[in-house]
Amino acid sequence: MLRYLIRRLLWALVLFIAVTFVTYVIFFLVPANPARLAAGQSATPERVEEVKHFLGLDRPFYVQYGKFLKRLVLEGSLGQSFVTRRSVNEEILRAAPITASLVFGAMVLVLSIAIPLGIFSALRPRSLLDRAAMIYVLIGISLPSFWIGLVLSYVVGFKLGLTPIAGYCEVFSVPEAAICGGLWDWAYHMILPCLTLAIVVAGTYVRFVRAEVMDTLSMDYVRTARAKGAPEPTVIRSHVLRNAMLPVVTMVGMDIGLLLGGAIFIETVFGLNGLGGTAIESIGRFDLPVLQGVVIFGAIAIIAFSLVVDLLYAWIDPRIRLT
Amino acid sequence: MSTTSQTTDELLGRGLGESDFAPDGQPAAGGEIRARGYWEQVWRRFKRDRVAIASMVFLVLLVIVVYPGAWVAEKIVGHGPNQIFPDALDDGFLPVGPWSHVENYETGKTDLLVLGADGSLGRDEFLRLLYGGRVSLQVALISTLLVMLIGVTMGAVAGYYRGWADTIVARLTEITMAFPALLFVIALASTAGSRLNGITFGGLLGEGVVTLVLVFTIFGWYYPARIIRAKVFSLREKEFIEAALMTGASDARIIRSHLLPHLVAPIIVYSTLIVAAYILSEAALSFLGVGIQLPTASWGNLLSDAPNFYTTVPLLMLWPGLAVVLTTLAFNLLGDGLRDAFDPRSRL
Repeated sequence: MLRYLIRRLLWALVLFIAVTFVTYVIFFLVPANPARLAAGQSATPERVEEVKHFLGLDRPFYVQYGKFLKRLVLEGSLGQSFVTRRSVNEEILRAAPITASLVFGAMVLVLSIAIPLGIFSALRPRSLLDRAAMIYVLIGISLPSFWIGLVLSYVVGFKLGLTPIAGYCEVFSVPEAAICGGLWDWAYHMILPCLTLAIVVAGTYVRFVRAEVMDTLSMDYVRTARAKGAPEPTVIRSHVLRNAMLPVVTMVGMDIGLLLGGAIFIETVFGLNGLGGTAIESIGRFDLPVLQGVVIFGAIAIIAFSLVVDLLYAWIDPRIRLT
Repeated sequence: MSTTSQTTDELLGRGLGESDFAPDGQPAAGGEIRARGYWEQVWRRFKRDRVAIASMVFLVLLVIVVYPGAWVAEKIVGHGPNQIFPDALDDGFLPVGPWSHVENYETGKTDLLVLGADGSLGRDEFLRLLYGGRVSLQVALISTLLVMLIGVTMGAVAGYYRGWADTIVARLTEITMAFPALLFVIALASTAGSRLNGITFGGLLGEGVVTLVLVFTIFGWYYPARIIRAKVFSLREKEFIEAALMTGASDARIIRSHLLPHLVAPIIVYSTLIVAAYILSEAALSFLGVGIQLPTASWGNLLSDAPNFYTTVPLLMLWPGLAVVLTTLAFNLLGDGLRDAFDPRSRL
C-alpha cells in the first residue's frame, strides 16, 4: 500500500508540473503582449516597458516560469490581478464556495436520482421503468445544460415565481450590503441551479449505474451465490451492488473535480459569480492572472480528487494495490 | 418475441431467410444458397430500426436545408443572414415576431422575416438559424473527424505494440484529463482565438470554426483512444492475429487488414455519438461568447442573445434551442441504432 501511495503521489506531482507549465505557456506566451494589457490601453511605450520589467516579462521564459512555480509552491500565491491588483487567491477563495455549493448540491441530487433508477432498470431490463429511464438518459445527453437552465428559470422562476431567477446568498459572513443571507436564503437560491446541473449530469449516471449492475449480474460469482441458495435480496445487496458501485465511486470523484471548473454554463445562466463566472469576467477584461489562477485551481481540484479516489479505491479493493 | 429467434440466426451468421428452407432438409430447389455478408446483415438489422431510420432521414434533410437550402432561402427572401433591419423592432424596441414584413432599405422592397428578428439589431432569425446550422455542423463534424483520426491511431498503436507505446499514450491521456478542459478551452479560445478565427480556408468554413475544432481535438482525442486501445488489446490475443504473424505479415498489414475491420463498428458508433456532444459544446461555448464570434451566426450565439429577451420574446430561446436539441437527439438515436445493428447483443 505504501509503495502504491508513493507512486500515486509522485505521479500527481508530475501532473501538477505539466499542467502549470502548459497553462503558463498558454497565458504568457500566446497573447500578443501581456504587459500592454496590464498597463492599460492608454499607456505610453515607456510605461509599458516599465510594467514589463515590473512583471518580470523581460526575463527569459524559464526564469519566469521558475519564479511563478516557486511563488505558487512556497507561498501558495497565484499572483495579483492585473485589473484590481487584489490577490488572485482572494478572488478564488470568494468564488470557490459558490461553485462548490452548486457542484456538491447537484451531486447529492444526481446520486439520489441515478443510483435507484439505474439499479431498478438494470434488474428489470425492458420493463416500463427501464424504458422510461432510457428515454430520460437520451434527453439528458441531448439537451444543452444552459438551455435547460434558461427554460427552468423562465418557467419555475419567472412564470411560476417559485424560486429566484438568479443570484447567490452567503451562508456565513454575510456582507453588510447584502440583501439576503443565512442558510435558508442560500438553499432557496441554490435549489434551481443544483437541480438543473443534476438533470443534465444524472442522465449519464443512470446509464452508467445500469450498465455496471447488468455487467455484475452476469458475473460467475453471482451465479455461484445464487446456486448455493442465497436469497435474491442478499445476492443483489452483497454480491451485485457492492461490486457494481465501485466504479461509480471513481466516476463521482473524477466528475466533482471536473465540474468545479466545468459548471460555468449553469453559473452564467443563474448569475452565480463562482469560478466559472470569475473566469468569464476576467476574459472580458484581459485579466490573465485571474484567469490562469482559476484554471490552475481547477487543475489542482481534478488532480486532488482523482488522487483521493484512487487511494480510496485501493483501500476498498485490494486487487488494485497489489498489481 | 419473434425477433429473438431472428436475432439468434443473425448472431450465428446463418443468414437464412424463410424462403431458403426447403422440405426434408434438401437444399432449396430454386436459387443458390448464399451466405449474407457482414454489411448486409448490419444493414438488415438497421433497416428494421424505425427510430434510427427516422433520425438518419432527419439528418440528411438537415444537411440539405442548411447547405443548398440556406442559399435558396436567401435568394427567395432577398436579403442575407447578417443584414440589419432597423424596422424589425416594434414600439417597445423588441424584435418583431414570426412572419413579419419589414422594409429592406437596401433594395427598397418589403422583405419577409419568416421567424421574425433575432434581437436588437433586427437580423433575420430564420436565415441565421439556417446559416448557423452550417457553422454548428462544420464544427461538430470536423472535430469528430480529427478526434477519431488521432484517437484511433493512438489507441491502435498503444493496444498493438503495448510496452512503452502504451505507457506514453496512457500518460498523455492522464495529463490531458488533469486539465479542467472547459476552463482551458475558454481560456485558449479567448487568448489564441483571435489569431485563429480568421482562418476559413477561403470561405469554406465559418469564421471561428478552426479555433473550436482545434480546442475540441486537443481535449477530445483520448476518449476514443481508450476505447480503441481496449478493443485492440483483446483482439491482439486472438488466434487470427497469431496466424497472420506466423505467415510473416508485417505489423502495418496486420493493423490494416486484420484489426481495422473489427474496429469499424466502434468507430462509426462512437463518431455518431460525439458529433452530438460537439454540437452541444459549440452551442455552449458560443453561448458564453467564446465560441463563434458575431456577426457569424451559429446556434450557440443565437442562443446567447436570447436571454436578453427571455421575459419578453421567449420564442427566440425556442428556435435555436429546438434546432440543437433535435439535431443532438437525432445523432444520439442514430448512434444507438447503429450500435444495435452492429452488435445485437448490446441491445440487452
